[in-house]
Amino acid sequence: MGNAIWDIDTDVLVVGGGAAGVSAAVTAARNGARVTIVDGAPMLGGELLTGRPVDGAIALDGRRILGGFADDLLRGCEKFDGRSAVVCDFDRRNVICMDPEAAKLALTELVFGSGVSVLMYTAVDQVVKDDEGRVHGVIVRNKRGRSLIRAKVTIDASAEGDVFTTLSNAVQEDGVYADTRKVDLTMRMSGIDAGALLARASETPSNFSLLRHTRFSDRSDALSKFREQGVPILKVPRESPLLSGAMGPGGRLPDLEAIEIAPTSALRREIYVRAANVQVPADRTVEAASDNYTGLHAQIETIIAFLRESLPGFSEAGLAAVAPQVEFSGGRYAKGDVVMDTATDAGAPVIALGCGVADAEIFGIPFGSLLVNGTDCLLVAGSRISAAQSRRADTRAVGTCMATGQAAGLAAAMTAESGGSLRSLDAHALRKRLMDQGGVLEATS
Amino acid sequence: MTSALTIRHHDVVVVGGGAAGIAAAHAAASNGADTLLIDAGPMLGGELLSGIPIDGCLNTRGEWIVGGFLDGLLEECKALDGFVGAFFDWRTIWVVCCDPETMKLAVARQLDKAGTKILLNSFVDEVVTDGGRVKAISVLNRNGRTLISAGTFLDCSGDGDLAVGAGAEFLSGDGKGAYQPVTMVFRMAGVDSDRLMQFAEEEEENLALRENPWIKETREECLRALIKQGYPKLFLKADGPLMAKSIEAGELYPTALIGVTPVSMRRREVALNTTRVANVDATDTRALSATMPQLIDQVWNCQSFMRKRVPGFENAAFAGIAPRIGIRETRRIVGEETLDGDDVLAAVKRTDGIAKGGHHVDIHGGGTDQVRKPIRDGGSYDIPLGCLLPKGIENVAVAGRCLSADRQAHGSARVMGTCMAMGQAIGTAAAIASDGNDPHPVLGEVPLSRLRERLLDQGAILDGTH
Repeated sequence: MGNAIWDIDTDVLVVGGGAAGVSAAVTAARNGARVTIVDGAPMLGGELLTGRPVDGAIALDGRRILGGFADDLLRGCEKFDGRSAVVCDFDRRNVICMDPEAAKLALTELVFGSGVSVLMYTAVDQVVKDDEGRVHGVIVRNKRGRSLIRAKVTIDASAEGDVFTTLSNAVQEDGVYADTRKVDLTMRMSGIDAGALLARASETPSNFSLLRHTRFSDRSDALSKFREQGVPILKVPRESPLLSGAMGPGGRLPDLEAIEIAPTSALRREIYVRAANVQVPADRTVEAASDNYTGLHAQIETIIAFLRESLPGFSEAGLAAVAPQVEFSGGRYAKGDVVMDTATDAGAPVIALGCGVADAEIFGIPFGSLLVNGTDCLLVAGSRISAAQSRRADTRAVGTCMATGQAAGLAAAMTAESGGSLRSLDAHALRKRLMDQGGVLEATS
Repeated sequence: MTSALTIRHHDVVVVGGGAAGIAAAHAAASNGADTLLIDAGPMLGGELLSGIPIDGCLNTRGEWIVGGFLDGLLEECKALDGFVGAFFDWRTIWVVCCDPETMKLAVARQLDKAGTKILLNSFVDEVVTDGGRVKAISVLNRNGRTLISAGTFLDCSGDGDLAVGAGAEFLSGDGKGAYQPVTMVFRMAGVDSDRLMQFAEEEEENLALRENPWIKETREECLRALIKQGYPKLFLKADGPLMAKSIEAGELYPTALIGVTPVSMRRREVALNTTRVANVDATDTRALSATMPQLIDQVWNCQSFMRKRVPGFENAAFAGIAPRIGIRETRRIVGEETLDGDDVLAAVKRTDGIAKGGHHVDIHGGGTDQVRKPIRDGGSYDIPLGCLLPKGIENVAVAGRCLSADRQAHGSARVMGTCMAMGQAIGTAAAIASDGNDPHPVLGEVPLSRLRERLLDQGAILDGTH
C-alpha cells in the first residue's frame, strides 16, 4: 500500500519564490494563466528580503532598463512606507535601494492579489518528464503530504536550478563550475551617521571602491557629488588598507572579500551590510551552508564590532536585522538554446535587458537563453539562465532576474493559452506584449 | 536511473529548530551525545525570532520556573546587547523581552558552544519504523535525499510530524475544526516610550490590567507599577474606548488585544502581537500559505491605527514582520500520559516532574474571543516525562506545543518558556539514554532520578515555586 498523493493541476508552475519567481508568477497570472508557485522558505521574496540594492534596473548613464513587475513592486513598497530611491555608487552602478520589510508586504499583496496559488514551506522532490524531454511538472512534499503538480509550462526560477539540473544535457558543463563556492550571510544595521561616513570616504577614497568608471574621471567633481547625494553607499574592498590590515594572521577580521553597504530605510536610518562569507565545497551545498551557520553568525558579531570602531559614522550603530537566509554565489547554469555571452547576436529578439557590471554597457537577453536544451514545457528565469561565464555576473543582478522572470511568466501564459510549444512562440508578439505591460526592451532615459 | 541516497548516523536527531528544538539539541549535545538538529526552514530559533516576548519563564508570582538552557540563551542575549528585561505585565504574566535579531546570533552561539550539528532547509519526508522504534528518517533537500539513522529522535516540529509519521495517535485543535488563530507578529521602531506611558497613565481605561485574581494590588496600583517600569509595554484591550471605537468604525479589524512589548531600546522598537486568522489547520500547507494576505492586511491596518490613535506612535515607523507565520495550535500527540487542564489550573506538583509550566490557560479564538484562566495562586505545575513520550514508540520524545495534553492544558504549556524546559528535558534524557552504549535506547527507561538530577545540575527548575 502506498500513500495517496494530492493532484494539483495548473497552467503555469513556478519553482522558486525569489525575485525571478515572484515576477514570473504575477506576470503569468495577470495574463490569464492559473499559476502555482512553490518555495521551501516560510516567506516569498528570496534575495529581495535581504535589503540588497536592486542592480540591473537603471544603467549607469541613468537610462531605465527595467519596468513592469519591478515598477509594481516599488509602488507597493511605497504604499507600505518603503521609500525606494535610485542611488549611484559613484563607481560602476546605479542601484535602487529598497526597504526589504516593506517588500515583504508588497510582494504578498502582489502575488496573492494577482490570484497566484502559493505553496510556501514546500520542498521539490522529483521532476516529472516524458520520453520526449517534456517537463510535466513536479512532485512536492510539505506537511500536507506529497502532491503532484501538473503544469502546461514549468518555470525554474530557483536559486540553484532545482528543476533543470535533474535533466540530462540541460546543464552547462564548461568546466567553470568551481570546486568551491562562496556563501554569504548579510545583515542590516541602524543608527548610521551617513555624513561622517561619506566625509571619510571622500577624504580617503583609496579605502573604497570608488570612481572606477571613466564617467567619474573628474574625481573631485565626482566626490563632491557623492557627498551631495548624502546616501551611505560604499564598498570597502579586501585590498584596501582598512581591511587588509585587519585580516590575515592575528587580524581581528575573518577573510572577507569586501564590506559593502547600501541604504535600506531612511526612516529607520538603516543600511544593508554584505560582508560575512565563507568558501565551501561546491557540491552538497545544503550541508555546507548548515555547517557554516554558526560561523557566519559569529562573523557578523566581529564585523559589527569592527565597523563600530573603525569607520566614522558607525560608533552609535548596531544590528538591525540578520538576513532571512544564508545565500550562495556561483552554482550551475542552464544550457539553453542560446548560451549568451558578450558577443551574442544583437539581432536576436530581445526579451529583457541587462547591464554589464564591469563596463556598465546595456545588453539584450534573447528568449533562447530561457529555453532549456533538450526539453520542452520548461523555462528558466533568474540567476541560472543560460549565460556564459562572461555574462553571469550581469544576468544574476536582482533587477535582471525580475526582467527574465517577467518574460518567462508572460511566455508561459501565452504558451499555456495557445496550447503550442514554447519554441513556436512568436518572439515578436512576446516582445510587444512585454512592452505593453511596462517591460523595458529598449533603454529609455 | 536510481538516485543515490546519502546515509548518516547520529546518537540523537532533533527535528525542528524552534524554542523546544534548540533547547533539546543543546541539552543532548552538551551532555555528550552526537546530535543533529534539522529544520525545514533557513534559520534557527522559530518563534524566538518573531519579536514576541518569551512567555512562561516566570510564574505570575514572579518566580523563575525555567532555567538551564534558557539562562544560557539570555546570557548570550545580554552579552550581545539584545536583552531588554523580564517584566510583569500587571495584567497576568511575566514576559521576557529580547531583540529577535540579536536572538539569531545568540541561538547560533549557544548551539556552537554545545557542538550541535545543524542541517537546515531540509524537510523530513519518511519515517522508517521497526515495531515500536524509529530506525531512521529520510530527509529531503535540494541536494537530494539523506537517510539519517539515530538512537533516539526528538520531535520538536511543533506539529508532531515525526511522531505522526511513526504512527503516533494525535488530537487536533478542539477536534471539530477549531484551532487557535495564527498570527503575524510585527515591529515598529522609533516609538516615544515616555509619551506612550503618559498616555497609559492618562487613559488607563484602554489598558488590560489586573486580569488575574491572584494579583493582590488594586488596578490603580497595577497601573502605577506598570508606568514605573518605564518601558514601552502595555496591552490595549478591545473593550477599551480607543480600540472599541476603531473596531466599531471599521478602522481596526476585530481583535482581542494589542500587546506591545519592547524588543530594542537602542532602536526604540516594539513588537506587536495582535493579528489573527482563526480556525486554520496549519498542517495544511495551502491553507496556511493562504492566510498571508489577510495577516498582512491586519498588520498594516494595525500599524496605521497605532500611528493615528496611540500617543507615542505618531512618529514610529513600520520595522518589519516576523520571518514566518506564528502558529499556536495544531496537533497534540497522544502520549504515555496526558497533561490535564485541571491539574494545570490547580498548579499540581509531581515528584516525577521534568519541566514546569506557569502560563495561564490562554486559548485565543477568532475576532475578539479569548479564553483566559489563571493558575492557582499564580504558581506553576509540573510536566512529567510521560507527556512527552508518544504512546507505543520507545525511542521518540516530543517537546513543544505538540506535547500530550488536553486542549486546556495545551493552552498553557504551548508557550516558549515551557517549550524550552520540555526541550531541555528530552534532550538530556536522550543523551542519558545513548551514553550507555545501548544500540537500542528506550527513552521511557531512563532512570527518572538520574534525569532529574542531571537537569537540576544544569540549572533546570523542577521543585517548589508553587
